[in-house]
Amino acid sequence: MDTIIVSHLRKYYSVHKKEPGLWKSLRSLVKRKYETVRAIDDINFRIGEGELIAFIGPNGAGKTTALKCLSGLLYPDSGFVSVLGYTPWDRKPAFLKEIAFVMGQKGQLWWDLPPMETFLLNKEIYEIPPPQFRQTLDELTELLEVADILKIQTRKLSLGQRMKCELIASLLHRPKVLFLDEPTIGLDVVMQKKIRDFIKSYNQKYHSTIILTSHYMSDVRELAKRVVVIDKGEIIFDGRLVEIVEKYTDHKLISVIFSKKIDKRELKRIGRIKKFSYPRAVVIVRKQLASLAAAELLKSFPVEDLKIEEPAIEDVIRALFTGKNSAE
Amino acid sequence: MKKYWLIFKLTLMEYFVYRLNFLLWQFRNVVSFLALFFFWQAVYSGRQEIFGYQREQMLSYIVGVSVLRGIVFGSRTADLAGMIRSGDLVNRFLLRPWSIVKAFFCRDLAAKFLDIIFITLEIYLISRLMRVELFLPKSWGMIILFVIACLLSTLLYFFISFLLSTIAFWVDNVWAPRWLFGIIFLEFMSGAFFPLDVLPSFVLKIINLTPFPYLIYFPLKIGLGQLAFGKIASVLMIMVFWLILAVLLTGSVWRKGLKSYSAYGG
Repeated sequence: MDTIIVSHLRKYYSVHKKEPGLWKSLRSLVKRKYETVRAIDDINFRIGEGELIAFIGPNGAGKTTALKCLSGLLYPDSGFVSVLGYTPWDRKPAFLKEIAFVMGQKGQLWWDLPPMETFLLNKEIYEIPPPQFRQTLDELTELLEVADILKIQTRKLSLGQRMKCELIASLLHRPKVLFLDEPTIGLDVVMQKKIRDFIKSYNQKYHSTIILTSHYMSDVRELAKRVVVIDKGEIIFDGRLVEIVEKYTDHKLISVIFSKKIDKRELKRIGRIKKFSYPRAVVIVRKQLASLAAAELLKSFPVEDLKIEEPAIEDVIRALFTGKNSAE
Repeated sequence: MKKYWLIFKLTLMEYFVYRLNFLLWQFRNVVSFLALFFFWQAVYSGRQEIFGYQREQMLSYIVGVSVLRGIVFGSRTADLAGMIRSGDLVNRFLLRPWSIVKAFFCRDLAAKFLDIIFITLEIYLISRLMRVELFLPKSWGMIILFVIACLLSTLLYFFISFLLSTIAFWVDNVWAPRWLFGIIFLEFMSGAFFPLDVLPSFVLKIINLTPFPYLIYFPLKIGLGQLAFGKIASVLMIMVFWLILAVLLTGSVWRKGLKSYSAYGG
């Protein structure tokens, strides 16, 4: 059975539209304009046990709203959701004990107290047996290398240290389903990598189902085999990351290094020139014609080195969001 | 049950983190007591009786108000509105297998615990310094009735204040309603400024139709032994009625609020 089933899920918001200016603000005391935002519009998907999938999409696409519906924070307008066999927004204690929701921008740690106090509180809230608590805590602190900061006041920790402690606080009860909303936001690349590795090993070790959202493609590329691309409240792609490239690009890039000067106009015969600064050039060609074009290049130009490449995943995704061709 | 005990403990620990803030905050009771004390001192200057209150009786009343403030008004429920607004409610309270109402009540208990200790200490010191005779209930029966009344008014205040904070689910800023409630209803109509029976009787009748005098005025009257037994019984019954109403209302408003809650911030 699938751990998460989502069918025809809809969530609309009514948002008060604020016009700029004092007079308009005054007017809005009396008369307000509301606009309906379709945060999520009829989405469907299923996630199996132990899967680690990523929601990606531009800001405001509906990723977080989707997570909130799945975790039971929001009541959807219509549709069916089942997580571990529960309806999330019933918020049954048995369900809440099996999930965790980590937000990169907001924490659950008690700001004025050391992280350890929050951990001990969670131990009681989730009724974790003491030996299991000890064991999980030791494992997690070791994995994240935070043993020495557990007794420092939370507000004095760095963002990275805090995020690590947030993760620990949320994982002490070993949730079967984990929602991670931009867990690496604002962190430096080293810290991002650490958090990423941790999520990966946690997923493998406990076989928990994880959904994460992130704007960092390196998170997505390294963690998720499957991605769901959400835009304007709709799912526009659901599948393996490499398939996005296959599906949404009709071109490949040929990078060439020439051994002698060549005529740039000559090169146009092969394909569209993306970059040209002697001795390097990047040419865009139709996918089906890539090998043909490469052969032609080798035959009629003084080529020292040649590589056929897929377009960068970032470019493809950006193109997907903006509706433009990724070759632009 | 242990989770709620822990919340109580953590709330206390939070208070102890900042020493200056803690001391000044506890000092607020002294200030509000002294303000009332000097006000009535001035009113009574030279006279023995005003509005049917002997000078000593009035002093007992304001000393009682100071203590009851700690017991009844010591609360952290005002935080709830801010948490709803900022989304902190989500991270720290929602999506956890526990009762949020109980958790907040435990935070209140921690606040009250500190308030009661400090107020008792402060009032004792002040009364020694100013040579005020303290009024203490004469019989155990009175003490028990007073304790029951305090428990009821504490719960009643908790739910009213909790309810008020839930307005934040629909309104982005609850500062104005809370202020209106805090000053007009809480301070004035509860009897925290003066004993309500100094007011004209028709005003008193109207105020008695609201739950507010049951927060300070009536419990204090019971404690001071100024109510007959029959009156005490009816007061306690009305308090139970208001409490049930407040509990039911809080429950339904809370559920409705959560439904419309969009948990801002992404």
